[in-house]
Amino acid sequence: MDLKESIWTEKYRPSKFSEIKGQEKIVERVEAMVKLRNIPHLMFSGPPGVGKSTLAIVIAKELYNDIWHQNFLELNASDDRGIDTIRGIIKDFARVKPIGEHPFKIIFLDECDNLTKDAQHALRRTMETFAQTTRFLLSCNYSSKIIDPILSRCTVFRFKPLEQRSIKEIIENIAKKEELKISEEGAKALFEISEGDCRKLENLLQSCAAIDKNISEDLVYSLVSAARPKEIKEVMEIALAGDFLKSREKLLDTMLKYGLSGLDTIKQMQKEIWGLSVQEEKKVYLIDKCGEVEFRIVEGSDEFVQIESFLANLVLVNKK
Amino acid sequence: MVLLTKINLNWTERYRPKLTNGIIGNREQVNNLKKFILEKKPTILHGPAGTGKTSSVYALASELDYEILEINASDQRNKDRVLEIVGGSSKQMSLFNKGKIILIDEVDGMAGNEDRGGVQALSSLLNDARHSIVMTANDPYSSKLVELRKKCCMVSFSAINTEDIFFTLKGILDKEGILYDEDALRKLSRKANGDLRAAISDVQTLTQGKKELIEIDSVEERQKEETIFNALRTIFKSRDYFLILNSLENTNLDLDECFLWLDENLPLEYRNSFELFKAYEALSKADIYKKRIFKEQYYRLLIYRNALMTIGVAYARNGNYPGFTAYKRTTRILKYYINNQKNLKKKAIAHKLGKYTHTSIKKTLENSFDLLKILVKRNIIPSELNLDEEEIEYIKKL
Repeated sequence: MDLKESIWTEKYRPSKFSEIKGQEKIVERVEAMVKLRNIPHLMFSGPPGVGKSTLAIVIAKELYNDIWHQNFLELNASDDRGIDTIRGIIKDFARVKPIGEHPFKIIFLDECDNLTKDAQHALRRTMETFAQTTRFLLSCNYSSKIIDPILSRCTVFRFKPLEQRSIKEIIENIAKKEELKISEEGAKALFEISEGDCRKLENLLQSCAAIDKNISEDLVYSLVSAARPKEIKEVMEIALAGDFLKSREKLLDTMLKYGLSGLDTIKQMQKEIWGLSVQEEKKVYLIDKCGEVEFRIVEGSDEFVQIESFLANLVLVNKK
Repeated sequence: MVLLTKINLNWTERYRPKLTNGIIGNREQVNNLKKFILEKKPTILHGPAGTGKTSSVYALASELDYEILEINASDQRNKDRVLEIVGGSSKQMSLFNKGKIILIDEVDGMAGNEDRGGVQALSSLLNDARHSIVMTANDPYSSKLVELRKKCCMVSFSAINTEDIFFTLKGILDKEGILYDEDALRKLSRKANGDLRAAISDVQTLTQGKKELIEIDSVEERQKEETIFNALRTIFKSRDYFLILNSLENTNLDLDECFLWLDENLPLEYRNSFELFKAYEALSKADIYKKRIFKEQYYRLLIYRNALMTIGVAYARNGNYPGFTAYKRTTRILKYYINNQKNLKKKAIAHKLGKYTHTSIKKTLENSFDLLKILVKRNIIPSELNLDEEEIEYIKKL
């Protein structure tokens, strides 16, 4: 048993501004603020795994050095549900003066776009109440889901998916330290699958390395497809054959068995469309519908019904 | 329309009275109707649903040996169609020299673009008809029927009393060989509110696949189900705009539960794939409204959600699906719950992993859990997570 092993996303998480890969402009501006030892409320918006939480933690480490844990509170809006819980924790934390000679404490609230509009308004009032002693760092995937009064109180930074250049640097750095051999195709596969998401990249890389230190394209893809149950394609084929009831039953069983969310499921369905035995032009139609369903899963509340509507599309497409 | 290989015959069809002595209640009304038919006077039968209006006409026809030409709500009934069907046949003699009754069901339901001009055309035909024309209506005072009313004899059917409903249901259950609890049956009869058809339907639903009708453990629960059954039947079978639109309001379930009932049972009814597709399109949009109402706290949007769930689903179909469908309660939510219970341990582990890697439980399950599985199965245990023996064993077994 190797007790020294840790999760790479943490092991290789940057703790200084200079270590952060990508997002150069944002890092540069934030670093300038931290040097002046005064920061406004900040909002980090962007896709997952591009450095939002990392930057928040780096800010705390650079500001408070050793005692950063005492002056930094991290909360996740999607875990600590209910604004009342959040408000309670924030109150307790903000009531106590900053440790050391620091003018303010930092509260980092992650995944803010999971808060309802009402909760966001409550958060806005909380931000005002404690503005004297605390700064809020907020992060979200979609800033469109954040109410204007909060956005207007924050300096908003928009993060982009990491570029190939940055991903390459990260891969090379880890490969060197962990003594991995990664083939050129393997590195390319890693980049393509990670879609500019560093967390996904490092998780995948560590999974590969646990199996074999020589990382080939095949190894990378075999891990990805293992995470992709083959039943999803069967669900689609049953629907294409016209049996809606059977395909919906299998869909539910599969989602429960693998713990797939609606988004996981529809994303995989999208990837399976090209392999279905229907005419090419119908595939184009299905891609369009699939995109609409993915959008509606984000916008709606019962993801299962949304996917059922896609199954109804599949039943229909072979009848036309 | 796809036909089922085996259609469960609806009890309301199976037990439709063959002769007038089988008609429950409304004795005098039936006698009047007989007189008007023989005198070839155009007649409007009106009264609440399920009181025997249509049944009386059929029973009389078989007693008098008349033919019936029926035009009901699922046929298109615009001016041309009415002139073609009623106009043509009302001047012809019947093939075997029999008398003929032209029955126009739910005449107050003739409306909208599809049936444009239908009522006027009908009205103009009444004067020179050679056959008996009988119409039925739920609401005879509908403004659409002013013209017709002037030219017709009106026969008013009244609600069937509870005792009559009770004995009718008893008779049916005896014939079906189903045991019953008298109190439960009496309660059911009372609930029907004078609508014999609904009562028979309810009894069939509640005894579907069973050999007895017993006192259900919780009456409250059963009453809920009865009303949702009625609402589903209205949405899946009828074409009456306002009746459908209000159908869910009359249940004592909230819209979320109704939504699940609709979702569960829709594919049992809609067997045409285009209609199924259209209906799911409506449900999908209703679901989006639900989230919008929640996010914006803007409750007026409920109107649109309700409309999509009711008329949106109902008008996805062009015709009617015959036969009786036993509606089922959704098991999806229960399965989610059981699965969640099973996954509590997994979530607890994801919580530890998430706290350490600065991610929410949800995102941890999506992104990092598979990695942990691979590591632990190879005996690589990240020490920072403080996983206990039980948790490690759990992961290994996944």
